[in-house]
Amino acid sequence: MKNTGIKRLLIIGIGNSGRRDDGLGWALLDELQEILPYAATFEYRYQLQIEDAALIADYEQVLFVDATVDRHENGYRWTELQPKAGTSYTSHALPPAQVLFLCQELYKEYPDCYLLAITGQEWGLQLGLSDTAHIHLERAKEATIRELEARSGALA
Amino acid sequence: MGQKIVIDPVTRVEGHGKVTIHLDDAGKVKDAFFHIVEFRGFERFIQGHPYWEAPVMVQRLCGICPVSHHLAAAKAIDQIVGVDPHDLTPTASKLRRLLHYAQVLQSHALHFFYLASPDLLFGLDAPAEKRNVVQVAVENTDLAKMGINIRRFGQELIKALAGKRIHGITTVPGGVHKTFEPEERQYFLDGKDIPSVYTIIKWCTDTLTFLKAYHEKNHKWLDTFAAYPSGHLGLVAPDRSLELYDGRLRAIDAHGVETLNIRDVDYVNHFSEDVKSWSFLKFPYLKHLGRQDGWNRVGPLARMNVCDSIRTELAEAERKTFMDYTGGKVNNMTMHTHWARMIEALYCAEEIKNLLEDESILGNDLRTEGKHRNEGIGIIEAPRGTLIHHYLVDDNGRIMKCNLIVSTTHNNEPMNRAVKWVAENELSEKKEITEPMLNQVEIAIRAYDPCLSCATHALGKMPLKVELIGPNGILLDEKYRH
Repeated sequence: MKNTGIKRLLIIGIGNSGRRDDGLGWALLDELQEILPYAATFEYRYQLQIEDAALIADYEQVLFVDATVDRHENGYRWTELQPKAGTSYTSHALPPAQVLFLCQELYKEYPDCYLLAITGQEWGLQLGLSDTAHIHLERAKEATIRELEARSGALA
Repeated sequence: MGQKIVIDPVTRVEGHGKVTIHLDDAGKVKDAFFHIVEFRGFERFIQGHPYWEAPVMVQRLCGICPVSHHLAAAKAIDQIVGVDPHDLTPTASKLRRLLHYAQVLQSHALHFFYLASPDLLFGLDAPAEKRNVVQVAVENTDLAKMGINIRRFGQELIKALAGKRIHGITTVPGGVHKTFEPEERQYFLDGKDIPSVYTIIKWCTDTLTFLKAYHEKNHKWLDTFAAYPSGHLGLVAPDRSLELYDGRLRAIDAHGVETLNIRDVDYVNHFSEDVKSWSFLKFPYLKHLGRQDGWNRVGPLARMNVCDSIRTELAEAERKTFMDYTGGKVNNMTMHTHWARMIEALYCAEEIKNLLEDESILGNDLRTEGKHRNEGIGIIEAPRGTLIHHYLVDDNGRIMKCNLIVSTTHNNEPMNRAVKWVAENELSEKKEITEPMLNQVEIAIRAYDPCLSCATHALGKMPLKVELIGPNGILLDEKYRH
């Protein structure tokens, strides 16, 4: 059932631009689409769902980008993800590591996955990022380009 | 001293619900209630907005079935611009149906594979941490893959037609705004990037084979659990075949006697709604039968009961097998709803195939115009049942009044009956309420695939709470599940 035509890079932005800095993930995707010098697939999500396990199975590398309330040095944190089992009362919002776990269980392999968490500050019902989030977004964008290039010269 | 059991939140349903079960001094169940504790007020805050915003705004009621609200509102708003369903261009009508079938397919797959299958596969006594789709993936990989890919197919089709998988936009007053391109169609036919529609049909058929075998092995439980006589309501085509997008409203009682057969737009003359202080969810009923006898189930089981046939070949064969089980009589067995749901999933997959193979869906005659009216009523069969959108607008096109009766609202009384059945048959006079007992309450509710966010028109998490209340009203025990 798995698609055999493996693609290179998938970037998934998670969030909601109607909730101020919760839109950080989508905002980064908007910017990366303009500047990345190689092909990538961009997907926007309110939250990750079970069928995203089938989607990521089609790629070599996957980057999840999400806003966070956690404070990180420079306003972002890049981590490598490992599959992680877990249970939840809902099937409508899975953490990235659980999507990776599902992918592993279903397809017996999984892509290299990374999570970029960008620190936000304002979460009200309003469009537009806060000033602080704009600063974090810019730093996260520069870091993303560096990290992607460092991890995959073949992408270029 | 008597007791009160609380289940809060109810799990693996959409939205937030709570169950309270009242016991007497002997521990016997006196009463049981399914409370819907969310509130949003869409009917009120849409007032004053221009009518063309309705299909875009009201779909925000839900992240699971926004397409259903989008289409029901669109059907109503068509009438505001003087366009009835038969006035739509063939291409517009077919593209809307294609969208609708994709929505029902993905929603039914979500419910059966993600929400209901853990109960069926692992049993009533399985530990709570096992009863989820992740464990289904671990232990029943092929079934999980089928479910995930059926849902993904429906969502991809929605994205192709509406721009987004959730909260996309397809309709405009009097039609649709976007053509369907040949390469978009090919994506769903050739099986190169995602499984083709032909594979989806096969998987739906395979799932029904699995489900029928499961029924054969577990018929004692499935035939009796939370079963009770009720009326059934749904849309049918003029020839009384299954109809999900546009048709007549038909209802029958528990014995198959027809209690309603009207043009859908005449609903307002035949329905009324009761309210209870303990729930934000109303109780609709047929006026001429009254509050006690006029309530109906809606959704897959009801639709199988009110229709006489299904237009597509494979689903019709499955419907006949389903009806043969009761000797052609009305099926009032709640747990058979899952079987009916998968027959509908197969039907939708077949209809999608037929539409994808129809050259006219690639046409560019997308919109019709008419003369302004002040009232519009849109009724469709959403995945969970009959969905009613009703708008009154002034001469400037501002919405003055809005009434929404969603599927889960119709199922309010049936879900309460189901909860009471479980309380009386499984919890009554028991000294201790165990977690598997609570799960049985949820299983009964889950059969209706309730969408509580839609029903209260609520921003919600979905979790269930069960309360045990004594005869003096004191809370004696409660269990939460998050």
